[in-house]
Amino acid sequence: MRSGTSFFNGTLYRKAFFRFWPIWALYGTLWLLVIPFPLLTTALQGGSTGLTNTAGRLAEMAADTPLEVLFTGVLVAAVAGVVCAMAVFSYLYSIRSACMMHALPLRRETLFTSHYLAGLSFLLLPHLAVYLFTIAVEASLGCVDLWPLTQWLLVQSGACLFFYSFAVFCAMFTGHLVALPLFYGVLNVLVYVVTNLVEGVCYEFLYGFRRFPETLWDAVRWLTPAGRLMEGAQVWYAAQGPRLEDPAAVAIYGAAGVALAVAALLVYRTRHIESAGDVVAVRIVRPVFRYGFAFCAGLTGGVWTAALLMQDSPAALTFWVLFWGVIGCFAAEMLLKKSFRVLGSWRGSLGLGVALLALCLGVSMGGFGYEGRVPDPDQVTQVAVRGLEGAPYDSASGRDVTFTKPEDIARITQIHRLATGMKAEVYDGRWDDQNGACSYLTLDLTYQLANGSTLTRRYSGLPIYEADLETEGTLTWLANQIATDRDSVEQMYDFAQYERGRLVEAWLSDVWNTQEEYYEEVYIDGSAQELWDAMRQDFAEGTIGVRYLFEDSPERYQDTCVTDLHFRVEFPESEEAARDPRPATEADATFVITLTPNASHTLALLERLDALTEERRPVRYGDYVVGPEEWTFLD
Amino acid sequence: MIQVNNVVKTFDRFRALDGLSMRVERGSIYGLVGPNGAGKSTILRHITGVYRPDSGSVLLDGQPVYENPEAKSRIAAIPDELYYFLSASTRDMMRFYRGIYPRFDDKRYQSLREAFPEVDERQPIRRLSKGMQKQSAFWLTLSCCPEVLVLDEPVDGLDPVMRRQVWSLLMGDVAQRGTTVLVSSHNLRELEDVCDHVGILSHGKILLERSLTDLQDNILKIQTAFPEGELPQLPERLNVLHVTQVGRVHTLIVRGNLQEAKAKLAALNPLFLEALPLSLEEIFIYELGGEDYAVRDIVL
Repeated sequence: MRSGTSFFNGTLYRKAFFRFWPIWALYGTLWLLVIPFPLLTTALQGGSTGLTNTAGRLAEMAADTPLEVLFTGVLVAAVAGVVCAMAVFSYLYSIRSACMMHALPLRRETLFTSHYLAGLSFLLLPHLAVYLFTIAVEASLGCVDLWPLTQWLLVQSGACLFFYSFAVFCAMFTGHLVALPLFYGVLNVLVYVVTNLVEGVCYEFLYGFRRFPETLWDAVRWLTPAGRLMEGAQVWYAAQGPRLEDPAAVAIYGAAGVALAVAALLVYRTRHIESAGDVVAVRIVRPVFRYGFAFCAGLTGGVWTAALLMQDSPAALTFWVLFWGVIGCFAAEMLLKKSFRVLGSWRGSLGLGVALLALCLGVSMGGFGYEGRVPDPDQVTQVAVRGLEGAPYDSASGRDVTFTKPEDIARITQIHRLATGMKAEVYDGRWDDQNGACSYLTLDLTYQLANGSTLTRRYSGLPIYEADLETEGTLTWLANQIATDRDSVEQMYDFAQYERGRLVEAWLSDVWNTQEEYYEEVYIDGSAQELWDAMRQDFAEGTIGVRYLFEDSPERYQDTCVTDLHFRVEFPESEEAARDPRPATEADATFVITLTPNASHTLALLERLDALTEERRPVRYGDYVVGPEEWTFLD
Repeated sequence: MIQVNNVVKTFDRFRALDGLSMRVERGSIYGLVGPNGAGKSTILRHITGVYRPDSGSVLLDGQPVYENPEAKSRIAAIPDELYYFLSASTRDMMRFYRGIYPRFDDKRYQSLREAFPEVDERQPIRRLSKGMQKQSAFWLTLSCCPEVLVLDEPVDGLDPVMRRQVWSLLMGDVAQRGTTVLVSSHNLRELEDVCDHVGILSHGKILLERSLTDLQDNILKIQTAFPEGELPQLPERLNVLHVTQVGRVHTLIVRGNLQEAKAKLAALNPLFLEALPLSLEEIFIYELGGEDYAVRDIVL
C-alpha cells in the first residue's frame, strides 16, 4: 500500500508543487532580482559608470545586501506565507474539491503533510536556489561572503516558516478562501490593536489608570509577529560589518511555526469536510468568533465613534461600545449563517449587550475596586513619584523621585488617598472658588510592593489651591512638602548621574543683552567644573534649585530668573556597553538649572568669568513676565 | 459488503441522516432512491469516507471506511458534481490517480480509450462538455479497478447511446470482476433495468431495502370494475395503499401477495379483475406515500 500508513504522498506533493508553479517562480525571481542580480549589474556596469573601486563595492554589497533586505523580507514572508497557504489548501474551500480530495485513499495526515510541505517548498526551495546562485555569482566575481548570505537564508526561511505555518493554522479554521487572508491579517495584529483599545477604554473609564504594565506590552509585542520579527530583522553596523538586531527572535518564531503546523494538523484531523464554504469551519470556534468579533467591534466602533463625535464621557463611550457590540454580534451571525436574516438570534446579541453593559458599568463605577485601591504603606518597598516638581522648568522637570523611607511612603499614600477622593472634581472640572488661585497637578505613582508586583496610577487635573499651602493635611500642603523637601529636590535634579560623566562645557541661556536688547546664549570657556562646584555649593545652601508648586507664585516671580545655566556632560562607556559591539547611542547629556538671584557663589563666579557683565544680565522671572519697561536687573 | 449501521449526521441543527442503516451485498447493483433532500448524497459521502458520522458506522467488509486508506483504495466514486484540478486533462488526472490508487490499471486505461473515443485526453477537462466530462470521469474511475463503485447521478448529462455504453461497461465489471455498484439516481426507469437491489431513502432513513424482485412482488396494481360502478366495501385485511377511478374502472395499489389479493377481490364478484406490473417509479411513489410525502399527490 503506497499511502496507507505514510504521512507523505509523493504524487500529491508533486501535484501541488507543480500546479502552483507561478507562486514559487515569482517568489524566487523576486529574490534573484534583489540579491544576486545587483551584484551582476554592478560588476557589468562598474567600468562604464566610472566606479573606481568595483571590487570594494561588490564586497560591500555582498556583506550588506542580504541583511539589509531582511526587514522588508519579513513583510514579503508575511504576504507569501498566506498566498502559499491559500493555494495548497484551496481544496478545503469548495465542497466539490474537498469531497474529491477526501475520497482519495489517503489519511488526513498524509493530505495535510503533503500539502503543507508543498507550500513550504514554494518558499524554501527558492531561498535555497537563490542562496546557491548567489554563491556562484559571488565566486565568479571574487566577493564571496558566506555568513551574511547564510544569515539571510536562515532568517528569511525562519520568517517564512512561521508566517506560512500561521497562515495554515488559520486556514484550518475557515472554509472560505476569502476569509483566510482576512483572518490571517487580523490575527497578526489583533492582540496589539485590542490591547491598545482596551487600554484606551480603561483610560477613559478608570480614574487613576495609567497604562498596562510593561510586561504585558512585552507579551503583546511577541504576539504581534510581523512587528516583532521586523524589530528582530533590523540591521545595525558594527566595526566588523552589519549585524541583525535579534536573530534569536526569528529562531523562536521558527519554532513557533513548527508548533503551529502541528496544531494545524490536529485541527485538520477533526475538521468537518461539510464545512467547506463556511466562514468558520470548526464548530467549537463559532461562538468564540461570534462574541470575539462582537467584542472587538464594540471596542473599535465605540472608541472611534466617541472620538469622532468628540464625546469623551464614560456614558457616551458605554453607549457606543454597546451599540457597536450588538451590531457586531448580528454581523458575526450573518457571516456564520451566510444570511442577512439573523434577527432570530437576538438572544445572543442581547446577552452580549448585557455583558458589555455590566462590564462598562462595573469598570466605570469603581473598576471592581481598582479606583479606590491605595496600597498599605507597610506593603510598599518603594514608590516613584512624578509630577510634584512644580516650577521652574529645568532638569528637575518630569523626573521621578523615588521614596523608600516609611514616612515618605506614608506621605505619598496619603496624597494618593486624597487623589482617589477627587474623582468628581477632576471629571467635572470643578474647583473651589473660595480657595483663591488654583493650579493643577498631574501625578504619576509607581509602587513597588513587597509581594514583587508593581502598582501604577496616573491622576491628571488634580486641583491645588494657594490658600491651602499652609493648611495641613490638604493635597496642596502635602504636595508642597514634597516639592520643597531638599532631599526630594536633589533626587529631581539627579546630580549623581551627571557627576558620573565628564563636564565638557557650560553656558547660560536667556541672558539679556542690555546694549542690543535681546536674549543671548553665553558660553563659558574652561571653567565648567568650577561652575558646577559653585552651583552645588549654592544648592547645598538652598539658594538654587528651589521649587515652587505654583508657577505663578510671587516667590517664584521674585526668587528665580528666566536665565538657565547649562552643563554638557559626556559619559564614559560602561563595561556593559563596552562589551556590546554596537556603537553607543547616547553618550552625552545636558543638565539645566534655573539661576536664582540668591545663588551667590554661582553668580559671583559667573561675573568673575565675565559671563555676566554690565552688558549681559540675568533677568528675574517676574521681570520677564511684566516686560523690559519695569525691569530691575540683578545686582 | 458495505454495511451502514445507524448512521446519524447533523448539519448545524438539521438531521440529514437519522439512524440510517443499509447493507449492500458484494457483486450487487444497489439503487439508492429517494426524494430531494432525503440524504442520498450524504450517505454516499459517508460510504466514500469523506464525511465522518456523528454516530454509527460505515464498514466495508467489516472495516471502517473513514480514515482507512486500505478500505478507501477499494472504493472509487463519481459524484454528482465532478471536480478536477484546474487545467488538468484526462491524462493528467490519470497520472495523478495512478500515483494514488494502488489498483490503477494502465492497460485498462488504454483499453477503455475505445469506449470513450470522443474524449480528447489531452484537453483540459473543464473545457469538455458536461457529457464528455462525465465520460472522462467514467474512464478514470473504471481504470482504478475499484471493488466498490459509488455513483451519484452517474449518467446525468450522457446521451442515450453513451448511457447504454456506460451501463454496459458497469454490468461487465460486475459480471467479470464482481464489482459492487452503489448508484443513486432519480431516473428510476433506468435503475429498474440495472439494479438488483433497491433502497428507498426518506428523511435520512431507509424506508425499505429489498431486492427489486421482492419489491415488485410485494406491491400490486390491480384494475377492476364492478356492476354497480362504485367500489364496494373492500375486505379489511386487504392492505390498499391507494385507489383511483377512471370511468367504471378502479385501480387499486395493494401491498401483499398477488394470489391472496386477487382471491379477496374475486369474492366481491367484479366484472373483471386484472393484475398489472408496477414500475420502480410507482413503487417509489406509493411507498413514500406512507411517509406523508407530498410527491404522491403532485405526481399522480
